[in-house]
Amino acid sequence: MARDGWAALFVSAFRQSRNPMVLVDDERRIVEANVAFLRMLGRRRDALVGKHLYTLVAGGPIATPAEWRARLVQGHFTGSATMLHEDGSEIAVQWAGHTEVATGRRLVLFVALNTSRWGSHFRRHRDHKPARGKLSARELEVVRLVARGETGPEIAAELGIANETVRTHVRNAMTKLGARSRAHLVAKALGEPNLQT
Amino acid sequence: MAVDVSTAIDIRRPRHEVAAYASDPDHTTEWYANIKTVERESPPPLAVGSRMRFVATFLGRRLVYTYEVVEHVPGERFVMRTAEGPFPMETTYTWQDAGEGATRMTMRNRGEPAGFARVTAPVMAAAMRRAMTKDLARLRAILER
Repeated sequence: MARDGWAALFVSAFRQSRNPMVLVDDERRIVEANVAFLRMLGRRRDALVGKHLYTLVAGGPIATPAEWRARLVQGHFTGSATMLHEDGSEIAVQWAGHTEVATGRRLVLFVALNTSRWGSHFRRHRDHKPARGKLSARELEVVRLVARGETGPEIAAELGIANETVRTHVRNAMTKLGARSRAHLVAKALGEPNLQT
Repeated sequence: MAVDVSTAIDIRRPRHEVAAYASDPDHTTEWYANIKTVERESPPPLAVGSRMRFVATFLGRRLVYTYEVVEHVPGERFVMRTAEGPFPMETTYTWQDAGEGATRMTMRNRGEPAGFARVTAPVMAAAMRRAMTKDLARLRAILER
């Protein structure tokens, strides 16, 4: 029984999948990317093929050459990375990697399992994530109250401002600290001595 | 990861009538949208060991394969498995009474993808489920006409 038909079906599924997928060689050079991957990063295929995948990762490679070789041997691995959109914004991606020998060479298929959503958008802008110290005094005050577990209306009443204004301060603080949720904002606040109540 | 997809439909026709029509390869192209041709490689009647050659399309690919009947309990269960083809698959039909002269037909397709296809098995399974659901709806429309 032939089994190579699966390879042909894989190519079709790879192309048609809504999950961003990218194939890289054992030196992490991009061999092929599907439409969903190109769309996620706002890039053209011919601008990616041959390029090292880690050049699309904020901060560069997340694995050293030795770690990468170990993962190749492992065959299946998962992780997360912050990827760079063509417009300079960032996208947090949880991914799974699978190693196979195909057409005589070792390839790794990366599949994006989850991507970050920021409001109604998929990505958040790097420019919106400066150092922690840049929170305004009012934002700091609101974040401290959020960290205490107070609700928006309670904070509004305590500070004598509208609930919508509290929401704006929280949203801005989250953007500045790179927090993905109120819980994340609190976690970041608790980890930052200057923000602790 | 295996591809293993089952879909079912209730058809307001007697069980033996539904089973006879669905398992007859001469009717296959009438209700399967993706199967383009079927040729019997074995003379009728259909029995365990009978072979049929299919030309089908799936995910934009043209597939040519020969199925062999491996189990045939008229009116109850019909199983075909790839004898020759690009990859091993198995298709099972089962029929049960669904009350008031109706029949519940269940169709199951399963296979074990190899290589990277294992990773994209969910994509293939979703495409398979969409096709199977449409095919069973078409079968019901034909039989309830």
